[in-house]
This record gives sequence, C-alpha cells and structure tokens, in this order.
Amino acid sequence: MDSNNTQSFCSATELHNRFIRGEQSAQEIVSFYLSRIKKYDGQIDAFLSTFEERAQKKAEELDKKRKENKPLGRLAGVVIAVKDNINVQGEMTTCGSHILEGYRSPFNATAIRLIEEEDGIVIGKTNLDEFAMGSSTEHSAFKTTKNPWNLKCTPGGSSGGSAAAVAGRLCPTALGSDTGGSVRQPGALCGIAAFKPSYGRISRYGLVAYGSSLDQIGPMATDVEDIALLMQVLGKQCEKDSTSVQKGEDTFLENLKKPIKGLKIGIPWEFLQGLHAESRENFDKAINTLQELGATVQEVDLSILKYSLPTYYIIATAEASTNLARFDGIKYGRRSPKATTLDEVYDLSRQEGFGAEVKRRILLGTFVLSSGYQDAYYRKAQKVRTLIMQKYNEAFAGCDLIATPVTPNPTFELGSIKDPLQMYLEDIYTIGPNLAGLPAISVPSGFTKDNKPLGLQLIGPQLADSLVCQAAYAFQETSNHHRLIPQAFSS
Amino acid sequence: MAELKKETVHYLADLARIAVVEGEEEALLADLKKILAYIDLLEEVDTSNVSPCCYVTQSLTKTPLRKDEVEPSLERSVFLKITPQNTAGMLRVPTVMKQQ
Repeated sequence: MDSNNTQSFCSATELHNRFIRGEQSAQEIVSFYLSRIKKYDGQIDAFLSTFEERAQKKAEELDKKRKENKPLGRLAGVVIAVKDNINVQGEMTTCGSHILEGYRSPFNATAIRLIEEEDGIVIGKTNLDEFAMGSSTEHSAFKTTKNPWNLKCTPGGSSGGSAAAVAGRLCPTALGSDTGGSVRQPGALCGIAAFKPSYGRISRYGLVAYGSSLDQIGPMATDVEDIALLMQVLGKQCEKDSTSVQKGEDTFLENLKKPIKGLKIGIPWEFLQGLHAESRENFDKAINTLQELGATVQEVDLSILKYSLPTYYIIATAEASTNLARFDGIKYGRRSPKATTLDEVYDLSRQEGFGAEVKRRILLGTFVLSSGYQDAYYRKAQKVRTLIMQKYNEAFAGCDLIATPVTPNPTFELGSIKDPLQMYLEDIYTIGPNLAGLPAISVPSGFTKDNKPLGLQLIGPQLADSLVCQAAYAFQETSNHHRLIPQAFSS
Repeated sequence: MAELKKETVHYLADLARIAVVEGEEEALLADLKKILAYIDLLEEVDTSNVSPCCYVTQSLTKTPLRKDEVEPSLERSVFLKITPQNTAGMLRVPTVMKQQ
C-alpha cells in the first residue's frame, strides 16, 4: 500500500479554508495544479484541454477580491475539472468526438454558472468515452486515459478523465456525468468518492444529453466532505431544465458528520452472486464496518435487477438515438468535406464523425423505437422500469439505504475487453439507481492484493441525497483509503 | 425474438441518417445480433397490467411552465461563429430544393 505526505494534497474544503484564512493565494493554488498537470498529465492523459489563462485570470480576480475584503463564494480557492460533455462558455466542448470539431460553447451549463458564482475555478476539460457511451474511456476519439494506480489499466468510464485527474491529484475536484454508472464506476476504479444525485437534483442544462431520463451531473472528489460542498452549490432547481425537481433539503453540510447509529441498510445478497472473490471479501468487510458504526443490516429482494441491464440498454440507446440526431453537420460541429447534397451532409458527417460504439448504440436505439418493434422492446423496457422502481420502493419501506459493491471487478487492462456486451456487464450494479432516479455514491473501500482500488456503493430513496453523503462520510472516516495517493504521482 | 439481417442494418442506418461503409455492416450486424439476444431476457418478465414509466420523477414535480414573455436568445454573431459554413449572416447548406 502506498502511504504519502498528505499535506500538499488537501481536500477542496481545506483549500477553501486556507484561501479564506489567507494562508494560500488563489494564484498559488492554481499554479500548483497547473504545474502538476504539466508534469504528469502526459502519463495519465486525463485532460483534453486546460484553461491556463482563464484559470489564472480568475485566480487574480479572486485574490484581489479577498484583498478588498469583498464577500467570497463557498468555492473560493477550489479548482475543478469538468468532463468534456459539459458546456463552458467560450471553450471547446468535444464530447470526446470528432463530430464536434470546431464547436466552442456559446453558453455556460447551469452547473458551471453556479460554480463560478461561488468563485470556483474551472481548470480544464477532461477526457471521456465518446458522448458518455462507455465504461473504460477507451472510446474517446482523441486519447485513452490511464488509471493513476496502474497506468496499464483503465480509469473506468465514461468519466474516466475526471476520475483519473482527481486520483492523480491534478485537481481536487471534478464534475462527471452519470447515465448508467459513469461517475460511480470510474470513481471506484480510481479510489475516489463519486456521487450520482437523485434524478433532477442537479440541472442538466448545458450537459450534452445522452439518455435524458437517466443523465445526472455528478461531483467527484477525494473526500466526501467535498462532495457535500459541491452538492450544496449545485443542487438547485433550474428553470432552464424542466426535469429539475423542486428543491430538496439543503442539509448536505449540516448533516454530513452526524453519526449513522441505527441506520438500516438493505443488501440484495442474491443479486451479488458472481462477484470477483476479492471484491466480495472487501464488500463483506465494508458491511462489518457499517455495523461497527451502529448500522443494522438486512436482506432486501432486488432480484428484478437481473433485468436492469437489458432495460437500460433499450431505454438509454433509444433516447440516445433521438438526442444525437442533432449532430448532423448543419448548424455546428464537423460537416463532411465530401458532402455535395443535403442528404450527404447528414449521412457522411455522421458516418465520419461518430465512433463505432456511438454508431452501435444509435442503431440499436433506432431499432427498438422502429415501427413493429417499439412495443416489444421500448414499451416493454419502460414497463420493466416501473417494476424496478416499485421493487426499490418496497425495499426502502424497510430500510434507509441499500449497499452493494460498485463494480463486479476492479480495474482491468486497457484493451482487454473488446466485446461490447462484456463491457456493458461492468455496469451491472450501477444501472439500477439511474433507472429509478435514486441518489447513489461510490466511496473508497480498500484495495486488492495488487493495489487496485475498490468501492462501496450506497443508494438512497429519491431525494435522500444528504443521507447518502452522511453515511458515506461516516464510512470514509473509518479508514485512510481516501487519503492514499498513487505512488507515481505522490510528489 | 427479432430477426436481424444485413438489410436491417441498412434500413436502420437510413433511419438514423448514418452512412454505412463497406466492411462496417458485418461487424455491426454481429454486434447488434448479440446485444439483441441478450436484451430478449426481458421476455421473462410479466408486465401485464404494468404501466410504462415515462417520467421517473412523476410523483415529485409538476411540469413547470414559464411566463409567456419574450426573452433574449442566442445572438446571431455568436451563432455564426460556430456554423460550419455561413454567408451574408446566414447558415449555408447545400441545395434543398432542386431547380425546375
């Protein structure tokens, strides 16, 4: 196990405190992370673009603000990387795809506006599987991100860039997006905390849509306290996102450090067969830890989750086929130079611009929505989704939270999974909360014998986001897993 | 359940407006067949008398309506910067309607 000097790599919360107290300037903080990115990102390949000028300018403004005793936002001093499917005004947004060549965002996502209103500094855009479709970040059109714990292995996906950037301490926090596990799975594989809020809790305005009924932006950080801080800032109703829920409770920070004695945790043991042996051992240990914290454990029946993957792959691809219809070479992005007719603009721009996985999912989605098949596939999947939601509701009638591992396996070697279906199976534990709109967090729970991180997943009922963070924090504080830094990036 | 053929791949590609080049169809067909075979697992589930889930937060929120007021939209100059081709302040595309 690697143990390291933890002083240089403090949490975002601590960075904010240091800045407010005048112990560090914003310019020092930004320089520190920019130099780490320069030094190490050649190995990790987490970033697609860095905002040196923009970040330094914001840092100068912030230092001036503090000097003039002006009020400072809750994220003053905090540096954040953003997955490249979230629009940051004036900067390139690629979604990891060739089809958005030349597209510079003309607007800010609500999440970015909220971060900047609270004086957070966006430091760059991170790599992802193209249009967030993947579980390994190997489907990016530009580069393959490596796992800082083992550079031959995947950081997970699709928010692999964000997870690797935080794990490698290239930035203290990042935003990802989660449609079927794309924040939690890379979080677990990289040994960091990663949260998918309840559906509708963070505005999707400015997040490039993949599966609109499933997508949520998710904060990622080394410390659950930072997740809570980001949720406090980002968990606001947004009039530009009509699926944004009326404000839930704003008690992320207030409740974060409260004990979890008496908390009832449900475990779907039957659904956890087929877990990698070390993962199972680690999960059992994590459950014991929760019990030592005073939680009680009981079995819940979620055998219906056997059908969650096929349900997801029908609904997500159907929605994706519609959402990605806008990338047509007409108004923005790449237009095929070979196109001479209008039809060719569509057909060729899309054929040249999209990668194989995206094409696969668009065609599958088109199929399940097509005449003659819509009832058998799409409508059927929607009905199974109703059943999945019902089963979760029944489970939550008897417990406060549900616990599972995040992934069936720890990280795997890049290039080792070529079969798309086998890759889809990596999402088996994370998909349920997206289908049911539930809050779910991945929190570091230890390592395998060969030093690969593992994660515990805690899931709450709809809008119990604060409780999920509270339980994750309590669990985090029982060990130092979250403070360990990959050896190669520890100085 | 569904029988997928090469023609289906071309039909879907047509609907999705994505050209399929030679050499791509075999792989696409094989992958789609495999995935569809797996998805057929849903046939096991009894969904008679179950209504489809259309909106996951149906019980939590009403669809909000905004005031019927004109608000500023994207400025033309900003929009033109991101277009692949433009001319005289307009987005340029190949001929839509053929001349008589």
